[in-house]
Amino acid sequence: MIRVTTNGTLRGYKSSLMRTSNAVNLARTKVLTQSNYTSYAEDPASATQAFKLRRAFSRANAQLDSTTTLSSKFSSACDALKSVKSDLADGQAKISSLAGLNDANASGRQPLGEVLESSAESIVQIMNSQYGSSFIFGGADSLGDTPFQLETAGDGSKYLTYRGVAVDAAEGTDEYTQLKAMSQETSYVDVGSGLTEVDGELISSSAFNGALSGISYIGYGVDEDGDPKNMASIMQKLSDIFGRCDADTGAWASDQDKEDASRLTEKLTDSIDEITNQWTALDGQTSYLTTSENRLTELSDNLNEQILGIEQVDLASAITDFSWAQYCYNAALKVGNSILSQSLIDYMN
Amino acid sequence: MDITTFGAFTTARLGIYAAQKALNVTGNNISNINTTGYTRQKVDQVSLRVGATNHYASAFGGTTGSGVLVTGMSQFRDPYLDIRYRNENSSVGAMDAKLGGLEELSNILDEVGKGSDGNKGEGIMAAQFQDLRDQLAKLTGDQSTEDEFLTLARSSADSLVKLMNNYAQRLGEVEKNQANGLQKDVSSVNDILKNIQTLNENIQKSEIYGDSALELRDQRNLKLDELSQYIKIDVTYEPVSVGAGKTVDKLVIKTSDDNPITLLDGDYAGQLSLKANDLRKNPAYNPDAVPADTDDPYLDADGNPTADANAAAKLPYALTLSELKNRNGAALAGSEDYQFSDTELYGSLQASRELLTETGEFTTADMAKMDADATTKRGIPYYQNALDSLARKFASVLNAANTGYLQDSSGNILKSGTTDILAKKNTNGSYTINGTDYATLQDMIDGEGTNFTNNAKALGGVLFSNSTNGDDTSGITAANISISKSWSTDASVLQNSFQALEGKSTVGSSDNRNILHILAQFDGKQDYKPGDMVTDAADGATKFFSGSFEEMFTNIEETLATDTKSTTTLLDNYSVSTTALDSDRDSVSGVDLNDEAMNMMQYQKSYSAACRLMTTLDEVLDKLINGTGVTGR
Repeated sequence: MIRVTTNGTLRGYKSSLMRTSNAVNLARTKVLTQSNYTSYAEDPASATQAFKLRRAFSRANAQLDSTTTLSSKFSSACDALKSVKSDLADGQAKISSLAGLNDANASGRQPLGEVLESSAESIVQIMNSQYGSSFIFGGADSLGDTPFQLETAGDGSKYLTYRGVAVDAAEGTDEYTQLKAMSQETSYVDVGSGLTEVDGELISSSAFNGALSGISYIGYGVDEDGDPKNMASIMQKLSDIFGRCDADTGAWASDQDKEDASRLTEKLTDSIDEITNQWTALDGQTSYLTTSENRLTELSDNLNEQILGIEQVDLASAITDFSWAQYCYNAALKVGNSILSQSLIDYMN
Repeated sequence: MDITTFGAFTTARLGIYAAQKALNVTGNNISNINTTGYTRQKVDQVSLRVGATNHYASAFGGTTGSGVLVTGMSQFRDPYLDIRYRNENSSVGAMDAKLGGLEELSNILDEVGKGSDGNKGEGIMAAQFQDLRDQLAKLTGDQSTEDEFLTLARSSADSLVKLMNNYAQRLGEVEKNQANGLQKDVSSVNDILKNIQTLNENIQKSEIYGDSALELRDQRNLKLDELSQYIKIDVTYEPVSVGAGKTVDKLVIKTSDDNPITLLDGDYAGQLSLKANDLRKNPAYNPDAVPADTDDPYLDADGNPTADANAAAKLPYALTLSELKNRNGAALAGSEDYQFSDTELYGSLQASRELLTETGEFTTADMAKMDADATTKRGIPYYQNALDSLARKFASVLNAANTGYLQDSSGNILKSGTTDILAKKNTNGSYTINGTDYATLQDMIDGEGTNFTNNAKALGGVLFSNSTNGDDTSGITAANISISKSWSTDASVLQNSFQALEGKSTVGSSDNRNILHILAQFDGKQDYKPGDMVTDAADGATKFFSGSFEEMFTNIEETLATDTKSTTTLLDNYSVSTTALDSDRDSVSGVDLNDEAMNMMQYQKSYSAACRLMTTLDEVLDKLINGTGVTGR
């Protein structure tokens, strides 16, 4: 510069002071907001990354919510199956049927039949348990009517239905087809397994099937002997047979009844084994959900940490920056005090 | 010849006069030290020598000058610095105007640091998208047909579309503000041109009378500096004869471009006018020609002349310069109206224009022909289009996902109220109805008409429409997107599934496959193409972004932020350059107190010396007159 003029010096000072003041303001804002940036334009790369992480964070939390709800539902389902298996099937029905079959004192067969009937009814009640407003074992229609119902046939005998279809339908019938379809119903939930669709079709491994179809646990259809596979139906049938026995002597109504009772008791034992297997499988699924819950909680925490790492300032460095900016500003002010220094005019006589 | 006996008094007098004048100028400089635009003045003086030759001249006598002559006052000014300063200033103006507009947009679209609790920074629109997804995810947990949860999902969607409406409306307000701002800028430019025109007149008059009118020049330079922010200009001074052998400088202002257009020529100045929707005019066409001009009045997008207004290229926010006129209304010979083309100007006027007109990727083929860089310039219309694009895609994807017909587990369309198959779905995805094959469901609906629609059971329905009064999905934009009338009156329009239960003609109450499908749409990538919004877009079929709805919104924010950041950096650079150049100008033209103090001392001494000369001459002459030839008296 050829000449440093009075106004040139002032302009330079004003411009520098403004910059220093801006720097203090920026440093102060960082300390006050505790944010590395206060606008997208300040750091587009970090802001984009933070929004991306926030989306993932929101997804993880939603998945965690879904998983927690599902996990509770599955736990309730496990509890229900446990009651069915241990308390009713093992504890009452199996004992009653074996007692009715083998006890020398056969006069108690009719009361045993009643125990079996009430066990069957209890199983139906338990399998109709609700979680919230939905039926735990309602399959894909869990908000509809009560799934299991004991209906009375024209001849007075009782039979079990699942969502309006008799569960003891023989293979090849429409009812059986319906039952089979119902036992395979799905209701997938996003539990953080990478929900994906290909050509509009869900990849089943990318979500978790939350539908619990009651008949897939306690059985449906009939076997080659024409006996029901359903546990409650077996109990009901046994109860009917025991009910037909002589009230005083306990004698079988017919040899066929005796034979049936023996066979059905075996099948009851088999169905208890089957429900044990199902229970184990359900327990495995519940454990998976619990693991997912833990994983999602951890993921959520990690994401939150990452977001904070991007967005939040390191307070120590922010305060240091602020102190330095403040120091520079004070120094600039100090210089300003003498910026209008004396000129030659002040020394003229 | 030497000076006469008393001539030396004139030398002293001229010396006193010059010193006095210089002191006056020094005083003027000191007084104006804080006057904006003031240029330091100096006294121009020459050494006076009277009559070099005459018949009394003696070859033996030495000749001396006759003192000092003040020839006038002049300014310390470097025209080259002015040119550089004004060039940079037009860049400052351009970036400043652009940044102003982008910051207004950022107030709406930048969601950093915003959020429901004001501090968390999860954003507003971004958070609402997430909320809607969360509400939908909740429906998958055996609640897909529960009214209270369906209502929650609908309320969340309603909030989201209302946010879109709000953003669109605010973007519209920014557009209005910018349009008003541009109109005001045009008025300011016109005022400046008129001011300079008046100053030119006055300066010329003063010059004719021998006054260099330095203060008026300072005012004019200030106005030129001001004008340079709005338009990049070239300023030239041309000598013009005013008769009697006298010339004065005429100021000419032209746009700084390959095709310079004269904005002002001495006493003649043009005025700018702004037209929001104009057609591109043919510069060769003269509407006032007699006989009528054979040229066509318009240019098409390729720059070819055309007489058809419909074929003419559109020029939004067109600036037209009127013919140059003097203050009496007389036009400059050869001057005529001139419409600036789309990219001809530079400065804040052009930056404001670009904010109002540039559509980035949504540029029409016609606009792209006029400006090859148009697809990379993004103004308010770009952000409006991008937001509209998001709204339209969001509505169309979710509407499509929620519209369908009752089908069985194999995808066959069922007859309404029965479990019978109406249309069989084939393995390749096509449908067969009554022996006729259709490639897609839509083809079948179109081909079969009521034969299909009356027999199939339609489920779900449109979720979003272009108004709350109906289910019309045509022309959905961010400004009009609404919850459809059907959905607003019945929350269960959100369809949980289209698949009938086995052996039934109804859908399972907790079958959530369609909700999950909608969720998958939230996470899936959508292709955004300019052609979705602008039918005659230059690159209509080329996707400019592929991502989820939320990613698209972040992309809009990011695009704005990147532009804002680079504009801020450029503005900083230009501002620093301008400040440096201003200081450079000041180092030449500015008043410095030390300088003036030195001048004061110097001129005071020269004043005293001239006075002393007069005293000396007086004493010398006193000796000559009164003390000579009086011997013995």
